[in-house]
Amino acid sequence: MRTGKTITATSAWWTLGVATACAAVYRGGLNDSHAVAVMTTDVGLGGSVVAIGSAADKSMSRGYVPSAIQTITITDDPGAPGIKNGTPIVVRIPAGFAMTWNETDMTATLGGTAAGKVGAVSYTRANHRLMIAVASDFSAGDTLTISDLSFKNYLDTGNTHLELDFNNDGLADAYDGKTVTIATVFHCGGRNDCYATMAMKQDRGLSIGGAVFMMVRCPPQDIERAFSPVWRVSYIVDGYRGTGGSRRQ
Amino acid sequence: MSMGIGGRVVHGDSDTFNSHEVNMRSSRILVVAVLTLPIFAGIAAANNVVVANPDLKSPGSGLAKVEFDLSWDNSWRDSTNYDACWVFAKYSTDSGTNWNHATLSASGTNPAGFTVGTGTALDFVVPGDKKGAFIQRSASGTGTVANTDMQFVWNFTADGVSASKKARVKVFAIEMVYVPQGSFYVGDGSVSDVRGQFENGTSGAAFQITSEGELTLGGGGAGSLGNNNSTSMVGVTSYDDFNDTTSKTLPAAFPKGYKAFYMMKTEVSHRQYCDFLNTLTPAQQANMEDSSLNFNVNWRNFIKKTGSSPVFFGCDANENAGSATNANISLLNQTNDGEWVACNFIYPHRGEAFADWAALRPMTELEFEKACRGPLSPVAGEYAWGNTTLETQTTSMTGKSSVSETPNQGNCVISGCSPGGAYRCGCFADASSSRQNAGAGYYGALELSGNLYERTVRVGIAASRSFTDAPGDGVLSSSGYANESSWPGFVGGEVTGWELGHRGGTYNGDSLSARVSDRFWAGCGNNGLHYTIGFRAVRSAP
Repeated sequence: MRTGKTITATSAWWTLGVATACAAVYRGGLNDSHAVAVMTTDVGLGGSVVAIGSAADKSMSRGYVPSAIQTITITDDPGAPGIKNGTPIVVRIPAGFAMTWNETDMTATLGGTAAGKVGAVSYTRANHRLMIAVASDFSAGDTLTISDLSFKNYLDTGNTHLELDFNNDGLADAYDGKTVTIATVFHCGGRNDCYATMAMKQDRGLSIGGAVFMMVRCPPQDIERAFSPVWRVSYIVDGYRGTGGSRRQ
Repeated sequence: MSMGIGGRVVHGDSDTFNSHEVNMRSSRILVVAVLTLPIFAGIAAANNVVVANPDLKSPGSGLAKVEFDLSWDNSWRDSTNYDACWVFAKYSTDSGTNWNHATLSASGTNPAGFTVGTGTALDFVVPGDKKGAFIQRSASGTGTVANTDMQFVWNFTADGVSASKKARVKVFAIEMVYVPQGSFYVGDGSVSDVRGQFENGTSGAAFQITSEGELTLGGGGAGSLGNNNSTSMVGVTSYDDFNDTTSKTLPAAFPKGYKAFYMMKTEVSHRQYCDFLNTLTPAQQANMEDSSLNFNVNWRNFIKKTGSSPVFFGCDANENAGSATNANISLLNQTNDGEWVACNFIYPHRGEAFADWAALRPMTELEFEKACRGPLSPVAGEYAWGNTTLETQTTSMTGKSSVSETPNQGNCVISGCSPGGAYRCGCFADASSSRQNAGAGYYGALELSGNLYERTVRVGIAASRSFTDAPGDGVLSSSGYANESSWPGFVGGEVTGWELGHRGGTYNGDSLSARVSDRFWAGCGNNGLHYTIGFRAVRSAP
């Protein structure tokens, strides 16, 4: 029973002091309550569109030894070039992907129409980022090719795409359409080799004290074979030696 | 009458008091209405939201305008509440392979750069997290909303997207109802078939929630939120951890329904779930679907997928698209393929993933009761439409599995309806339906009783009481799960647990479970009947 303001199923509209009436209209029609629409073409977001592309996919088995990159081509926006003097071009290995540039490669082979507009290469962020100094503004559609560099410490699994940050603002401006793949061969370890041995220094008796239990778990046909007359069971139990024992005739 | 989008006839475009509704009720109700001003005239309706012509405009300075057209029928705003659309965008910078949630540029009402375009007077209301916008009438009115060239501003720099990228967007709209701030009752004072209903102390009477303040659960004291006859809930493992003698505390941060929130007008539909799946990566999809989600006509689940890469999910109620896992894409989503039917097999962690993805959140069981009952006094044994009347059950339907699937009669999909299975979202609401006819809750949410179980955050389990009103951020884990730390089922950085309870009954269940305050299944995370479970999300009002 409700506290002094009891209602019943048929007389509840003005109880408990709420006394609010609803004069609503509840209408509906077709469909459900969800909609979605999608653009079918891409739209630029206002910045210069600079592309990066490797000559081919790159594939390696896990390892440490430097492995040459595919030639990379960077192409500036054909209408509004974005690569500027003083702002380095950054080619990034995606965060979290276990691989580095080979920081001992300090002399890249540079080509393309913008080869003369860039300078030295360097590496940052634990060698995850290749930096290429820019000495003068790129022109519309300028290209830069980069080769004779290498990756090392490629210990991840799977594939990834190199990222381009041409204005060094920390955002990936473009992705390489080609992949860098590390095959799933597992190489790891430490000292020593993969073999070990240890010998006992004293003999031990091959005896068991007390009762002997033998448990056999095998398919019925194997039980038949194991205890058939052509098989004998040998045993040694605390000085007793013999053959036969439990067997099925 | 007026012509709606696509030439359809649209009703309800006036603010007048509806005589049909008055006639549906007793003279007693009319007397009460006279005595208790103000009288309000809410329109609770559903359906037919359309987004069209999305585009990106005026990029610059890290921002871009997302332009689109938006329409929906039977919209309303009055002194009680209003409906709205929750609109958000996903963007892709790789020509549609991967989709990410777009963050808007500013919060508040009609922020700088946002425009409602041409059409109805609307407002953009952008919450502080800027993960989407509520679009709603700015003034009282009813009828069809049809606006063109609406724009909100995407801050792509905030999402880590370079201006040097090209992008495309998907714009999503979900019809919602606004549930205003205010006191309300939980529990209905039932004296028969008492199955854990909330009560005031141990009185059996309804409990009034008057704030979001901390509550004492159980213990039997005056002012505590009790659970009447809680040992009659479905099983020992589903019992609340509080009872007449054992008390717990429900923190202030747990959403109790007092504060305003928005609720999805209907349950998640088949196509809605497919659209969700179709923005996920293959690794994410794998955890959001499985063989049980795929085509099973016995349970009216129509989802199939293609065998191509990327996988595309669609519906095939007419069974002409072939294999459930290698469907012919050109034969999915035809006019009678059931896209608009409420989607079952949405396990609780899948529902939570949907909510996180859409930047919404699960509802609590207290919010469920408010959405049903509103501020009205409880009626013992009432259903979502505020009384105990179950209209004559459905025996047939027209337009089966189509956009206009309509039952011949009835107002609630529970056991005994024919055909069996879940029905189209909003199927009982038509051009002249009353709240009872439509099977609507007080504020206009549909099918809160029956169709598919609502999944609600439980008060009777410690792990769920740390739940807050923090919405999803649109970003799932790499495995496809929600990753909001306060959400039920959060384990090891992901929401993988089955912690949400069941409310509101189902097409395969009896009428008792469809009652607003029935808690028979409220403490159960897995009822084992996955064809009976659906999902509906909410979001706290900004």
